[in-house]
Amino acid sequence: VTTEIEMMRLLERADPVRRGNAAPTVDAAQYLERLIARDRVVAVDLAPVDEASSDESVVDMETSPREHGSRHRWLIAAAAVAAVFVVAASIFVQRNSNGGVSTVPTDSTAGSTSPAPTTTTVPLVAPAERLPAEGTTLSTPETGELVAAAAQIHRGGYWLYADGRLIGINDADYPNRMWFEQRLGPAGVEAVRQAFLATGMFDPGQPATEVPAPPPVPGGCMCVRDDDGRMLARTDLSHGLDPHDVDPALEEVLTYFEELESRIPDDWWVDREIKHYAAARYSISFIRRSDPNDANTNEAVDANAARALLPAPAAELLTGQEPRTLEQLANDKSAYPGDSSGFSPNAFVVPTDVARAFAEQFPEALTEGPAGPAYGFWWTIAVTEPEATSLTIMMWPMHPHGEVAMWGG
Amino acid sequence: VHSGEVRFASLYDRCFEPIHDYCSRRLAVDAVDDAVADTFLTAWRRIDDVPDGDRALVWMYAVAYRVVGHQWRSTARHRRLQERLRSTVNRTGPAADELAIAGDESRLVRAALDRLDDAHIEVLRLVAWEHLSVGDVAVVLGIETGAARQRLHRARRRLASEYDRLQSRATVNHVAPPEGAS
Repeated sequence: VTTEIEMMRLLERADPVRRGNAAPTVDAAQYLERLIARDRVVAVDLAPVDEASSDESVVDMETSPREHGSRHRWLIAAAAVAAVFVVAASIFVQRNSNGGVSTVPTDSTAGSTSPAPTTTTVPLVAPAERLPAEGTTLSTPETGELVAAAAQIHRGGYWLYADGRLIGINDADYPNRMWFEQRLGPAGVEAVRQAFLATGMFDPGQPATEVPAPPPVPGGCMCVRDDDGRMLARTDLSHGLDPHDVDPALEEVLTYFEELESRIPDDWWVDREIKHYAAARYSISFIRRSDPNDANTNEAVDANAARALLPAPAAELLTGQEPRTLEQLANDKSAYPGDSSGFSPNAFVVPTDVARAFAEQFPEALTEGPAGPAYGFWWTIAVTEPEATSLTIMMWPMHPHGEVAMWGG
Repeated sequence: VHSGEVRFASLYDRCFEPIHDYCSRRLAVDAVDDAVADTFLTAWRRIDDVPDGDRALVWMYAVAYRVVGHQWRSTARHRRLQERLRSTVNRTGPAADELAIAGDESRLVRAALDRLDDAHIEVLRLVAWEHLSVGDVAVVLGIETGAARQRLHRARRRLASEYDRLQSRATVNHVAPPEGAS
């Protein structure tokens, strides 16, 4: 019989790592430089607006029929502004660095013990090619009532709807991550809802906030529809910048989603096959950089004003469309003192077939954006009137509950 | 030079090898560099929170523990996603331990270790391979010292039991793979 002391000696000798084989091949300064460069891209093109609050960028672009609470309002405003900065800055970061080809450094030139770059090239294709192909079965119905959601920067997020759709994204799939869709049956939906409620985070007396839609995630958040039909949210559940340093309840529900296929019976799924999320609606929004050499001069352009700058066939497709505006929220300067630009992010939200027709008006354009299908993208056109400038057009899929499906974590 | 960079340089010099070893013991070889980078990136972002002196390495182990845990979860999910989508992406590689098991005794010990649950495996690794005290193990795992001590005690006992069981089988020249292994 082996004693515990002997056992520990044996275990120590069974160490699979040979010491001394992991000496760094670069000095600290070089390593740090690579870490920072890597982080800039791995975090999907994130602009360093405010590291603690801007990494995640899911934005409610729809006006709500209900009054937003003041807390919710500033969160939306902050994230909306941050999101536009994120996208806008990323466009220019990428363009400046490599002429339009996104590179994803993770590893390689400095040996096995230092992070160095490998490169993934995002194909530069015309806008229409980045949309669901004609004839693709789109996610239906076009709109959906959210039942539960959980998201954490640098990790992923999940949005579950009453009709059973589970739409999510997982950062483990970077750079080929995508919005994906599965579908649960009623029992599956209820099981997830109960799993959220079982965390105790939404018990009476807990500081949950009733919201009309899930708030953006300056760190991490979870929300669920309670037994009374109210949508309750807990926000900022990250304890720090480490994506895994989150509140145990958020960790629990994220893990629950990640392991859902093994947590619930097969017959609680309607379709457990993971498919690309083919959005039924897309947003079209616009930004411009007033100083081509200054990343801080990115400005959102009012959608109606931008429409007037578009080639006539493209503009005609948007005629009669009213932009969904966030002007009211974004102009709440007291809520977001970091916003001094005064821009008012808004977007046209159109059915996917209209989005495709719009994109087809730019057959010569080459898009940029994160790799992977089922994602957003953008391209820039030259504008000559009223003055020579450029206009960047962004297209992002919409979530069924009306958020722009934009993920920067 | 910014004081944060000076602190980072000191942390890098002191901790790179042990953190790299830590990740190598727990991840497939092609995931190690990313995990090390994530650990040091977290340290850089929180450089003012990193304790001084010897406590810095324990703090780094605590970060690495969480990074590695996330990589495991992510890898499992990633694999399922990629299988479903019939992607050609293949980022898995042989585990470090598969490459480095040297000799039957170590093989037997590791086979026994693999039969324990994750919590027990981790506490044993931290003590035997990272040479941490029970108090430091508690810090890394984010649990009370008493709980760490109790967990270690149980883990040792179970490891010895599994080892003896395997050893008795090994006498007939056969080491059974851990349950569930292919």
